[in-house]
Amino acid sequence: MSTAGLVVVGAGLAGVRAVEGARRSGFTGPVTLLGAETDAPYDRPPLSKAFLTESAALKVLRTAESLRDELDVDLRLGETVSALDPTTRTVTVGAQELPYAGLVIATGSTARQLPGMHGPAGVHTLRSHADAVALRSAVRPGSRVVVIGAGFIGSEFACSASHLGAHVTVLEAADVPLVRAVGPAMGEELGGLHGRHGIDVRCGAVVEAVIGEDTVETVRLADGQVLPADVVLVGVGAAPVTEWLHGSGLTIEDGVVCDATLNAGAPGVYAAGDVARWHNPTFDRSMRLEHWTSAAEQGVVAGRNAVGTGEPVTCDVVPYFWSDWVTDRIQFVGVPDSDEVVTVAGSAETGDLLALYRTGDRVTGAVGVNQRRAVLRLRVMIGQCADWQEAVEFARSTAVRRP
Amino acid sequence: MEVRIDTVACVGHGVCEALAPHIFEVDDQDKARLVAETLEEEDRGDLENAVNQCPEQALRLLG
Repeated sequence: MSTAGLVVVGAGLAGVRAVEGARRSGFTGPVTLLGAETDAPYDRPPLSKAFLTESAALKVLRTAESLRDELDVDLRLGETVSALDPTTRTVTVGAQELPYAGLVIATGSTARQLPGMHGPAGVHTLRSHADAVALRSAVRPGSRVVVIGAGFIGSEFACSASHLGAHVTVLEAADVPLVRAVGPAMGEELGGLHGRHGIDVRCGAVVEAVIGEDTVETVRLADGQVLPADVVLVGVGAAPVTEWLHGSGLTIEDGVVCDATLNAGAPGVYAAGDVARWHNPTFDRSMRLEHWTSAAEQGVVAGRNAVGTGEPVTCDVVPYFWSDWVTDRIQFVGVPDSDEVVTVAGSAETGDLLALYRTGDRVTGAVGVNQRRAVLRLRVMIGQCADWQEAVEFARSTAVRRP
Repeated sequence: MEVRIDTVACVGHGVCEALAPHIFEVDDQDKARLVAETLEEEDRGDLENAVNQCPEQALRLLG
């Protein structure tokens, strides 16, 4: 390809949406989509759920044929980009210097590891298709499974493994699970859901060592306890994939730092998805999200802005994530830090929680367990800077109450 | 212009309703359905956003 067009680095959700966004904005020039994995772009959320519990097939976001034929994309899978030079407007792919007019950085994130604990076989992380395949064959009825980290990945995997007949223990170093995602009050409340699914969660449990020669045998805690284990899942968060950008001159601070239009500080260079730390106008603050819907939203905006067919548009997002614990669905909208959290209905333990987060006189967040109708309508209210009292009254009138 | 809802794939996240409440609604069975009687050209942007952001990819825009 001789003419420089749009280059999208990363073929996950944000990368695919970037390509679609560029084409939809009317861009007819060349588009190259580079993915480090060899699979066609696929959907990650099922990997900790139905992929494990129902042996579901890999859910593809768009087939290679669809990308090539319908969107006229030069799809290059199994290729890793090693460097970016914004002055020459090129990225390095193997021995090739690939020129771009517009670039979207969508390299996502990678599962964090615990130093010194990933030696023996049987110690896993869960992020990619290959990770999920390995876990699907490792977890058997009666397996002794230890999950390190009671975040959403750890909790979803724990529920799935328990559903498959494994004996599951979840270890969480903090005093309360899920604090980073939903704040301390609701973290404690949602801890009730683990019990509802028969999961043994031990908070304040610091892991000292994972022991085993070739294969994992036990997990030792700082207080001296030793837990036998056939399978260990390390679920301690995700780190943005930015190593390849060192030397590019872009600002990297736990993600690629971007303005409100997702521009990364160099002409034509935009970022989207887990890797992007951008100024979100809706909350007037910098944030980096690892959520499905924001990756989709950012991808479209970054793709469109990178090809420059119009004035750059800003990316205004009310964060939304969900987590499925077999039969229960947790949904969260907005941001977790607030002045006050008020429970409007139910509880996590009874599977009908609805709670609102207040900042000043605005509603800035909401969490629900099996409250599907209310939560996403609250997302609209949060985006509109709705008044707190109005939101509380709406939530009270819409909440589902279980007998 | 037509929008199709795959009611098997839909699990009622409600993202479409949040983006375009004049077009979509999640019913009591946790499935999205259309509330708009006709789709106007001015709705195209909202519809495209809803299709893109549907976490189950249950929406398709035709035409």
